[in-house]
Amino acid sequence: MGYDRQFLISLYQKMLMIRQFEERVKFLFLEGVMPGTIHQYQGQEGIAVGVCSALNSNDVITSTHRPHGHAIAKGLTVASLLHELFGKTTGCCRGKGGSMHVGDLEKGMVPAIAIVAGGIPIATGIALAFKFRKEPRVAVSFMGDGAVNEGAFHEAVNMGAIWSLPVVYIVENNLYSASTPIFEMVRLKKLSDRAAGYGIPGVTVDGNDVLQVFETAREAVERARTGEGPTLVECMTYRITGHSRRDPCNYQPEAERKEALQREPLRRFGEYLLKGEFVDQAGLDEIRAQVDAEIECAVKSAMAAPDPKPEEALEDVFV
Amino acid sequence: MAVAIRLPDMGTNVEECKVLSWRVHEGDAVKRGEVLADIETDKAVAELESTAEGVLLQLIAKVGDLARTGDILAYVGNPGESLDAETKVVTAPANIPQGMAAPVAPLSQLASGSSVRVAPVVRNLAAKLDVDLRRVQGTGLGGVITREDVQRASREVAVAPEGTTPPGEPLPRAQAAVARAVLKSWKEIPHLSITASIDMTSAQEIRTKSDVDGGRVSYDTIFLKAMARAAESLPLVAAKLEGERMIRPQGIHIALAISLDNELQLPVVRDIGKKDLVSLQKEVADLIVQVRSRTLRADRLCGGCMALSNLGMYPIEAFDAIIFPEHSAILTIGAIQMRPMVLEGEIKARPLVTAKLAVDHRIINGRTAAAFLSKVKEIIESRNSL
Repeated sequence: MGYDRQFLISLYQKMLMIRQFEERVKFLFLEGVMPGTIHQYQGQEGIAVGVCSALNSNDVITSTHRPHGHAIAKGLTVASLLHELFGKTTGCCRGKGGSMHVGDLEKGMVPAIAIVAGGIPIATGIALAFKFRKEPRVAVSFMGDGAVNEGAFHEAVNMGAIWSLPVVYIVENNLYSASTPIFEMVRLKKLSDRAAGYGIPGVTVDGNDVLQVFETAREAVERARTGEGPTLVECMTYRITGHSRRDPCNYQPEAERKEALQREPLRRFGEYLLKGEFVDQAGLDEIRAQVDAEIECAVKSAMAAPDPKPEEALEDVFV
Repeated sequence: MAVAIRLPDMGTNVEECKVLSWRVHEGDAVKRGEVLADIETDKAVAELESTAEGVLLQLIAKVGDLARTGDILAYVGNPGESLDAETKVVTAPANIPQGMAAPVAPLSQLASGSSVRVAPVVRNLAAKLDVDLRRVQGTGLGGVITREDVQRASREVAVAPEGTTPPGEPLPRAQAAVARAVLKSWKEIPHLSITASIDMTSAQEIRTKSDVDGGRVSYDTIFLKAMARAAESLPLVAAKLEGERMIRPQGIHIALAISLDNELQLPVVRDIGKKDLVSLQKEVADLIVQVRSRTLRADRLCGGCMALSNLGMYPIEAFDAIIFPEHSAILTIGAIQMRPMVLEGEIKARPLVTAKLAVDHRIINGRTAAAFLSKVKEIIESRNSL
């Protein structure tokens, strides 16, 4: 597995950007500076970065109520996200979407859909469009584990399968659908076994190993792009924060949590890079300093940006 | 520079959260993100994380205190740093219910050198809006003046711009607050009223025999004591309603209505059940002096669960009163009058007083009200109960 050093470092840089972005946002929220609520991505960075690194810039993703990681991995700047989170006109959705609807079609991200499983039929429809237009592009639908029990999941995945659409379904299984343990809600041992019901390949990987996610996604994307149809990829992971900022998360058993945090993706990948001598500690520290500086700069500009005018509420409205 | 640790937004429809426990002490080193306290919301227990690194300088909220989003719970700063006058929030008497201290706190008390409880950012806002903080009633935790309070005060001033004096004279500040409180009660609390005559023969004897530094125990004191005794056996009558939650009383504290010129004050006598008549009488007399001399501390106006109002110095037989917001009931008494009464088949003249009890009918039904008033009557009429 001869990876290019620059490529590996860019994976680390993006994962760290997501982690630090989320931590900064968390404190903005605690300090009462940030309005609204947020669903955060800490602990799942390996999945967004692994999958999006296997995509071309004109491939398209759909996201969920937990979209910050997907957005950063797909190339949206932290500034465009922070401006959006603060409700500023300069945000990626002109401040009208907020945390749960970040996105930018120019970057290949449909504004996130907060309804559980809501993005699956849409990604499938986008893939249908690519097929009709004979464009060699791929759609990816990110979803949480709870989405697999939604009707929309069944209908859309089946449709993607029968028409061999260029779509990849990524299940981020962090073990909890909000606070409900997913394995109390299915009799399966692996959610990827659902794939058999649609006659498509299904695979479960360690979602906290960014390279394993990347390799799996690369295969699935290749299959989709060459007309072989969808793949269902289950990425096992763990949420470090609560379901939302207001969720104290005390349903995660202490022992399970402690054990899971041993495998959190960022530190693990950092250690891999150090061990393989792709970078030294000073190099990692430098990346961290750059990431923090970029986020700090974005926070300042977002807070300073002007608030939208009341009359702007009448723009972008379709009747 | 010390950083204020505030209660974050804990969720939709969560209005108040309770500080369940502190995990750190004043003087402890804390890291950013470290858990400082356990906070109870309507739904769950959540952790309060520090937004700053340094030393915990001061805990503002105490265990059991209720707080709203944005309320300051603690300060974190550099080791040895003292909270300067700007930052410092004077530690308030614990457990002042919100909106309680405020409505009737007289300006003189606030102005007489005691610190106004306010965060620097709010102080700056007040300066910008030209609002005199001494005239603002704080509605935050423990009476802290919030940004909203200042904005409201600014709007109130703006309603009457200079030069266009509206007709009439402005109400005294405290009376304006009473006006708002009475209107709020009248609109929000469905009053249920019941009446009983009480034979004051025993009470008159107790009063005549008493000696409090040469003076006597007053009927106010006797009624306060009887109400407290009765409420201790029927605590439901002292409960209050918050939203759709019933809050049981922490102790039996009863307010006594005292008028001063055209103003009404309701100082609270705390823990009445634990005090004997003589010390209670001294406290009541002292409160009256403080009201008349306008030296009453604002915290003496807080925390009551019901009130007593006495117009017995006038030839009034009985009267209806309005329950004070946050109280569950008000007992009124008119003059003691010799009236005919049938005792063992014969008409006798007895000193009678008519007591009327109004209760908040949202939480107290007629039967509970009747049980309470009967108990008050029984205690006052019996020779040995007080």
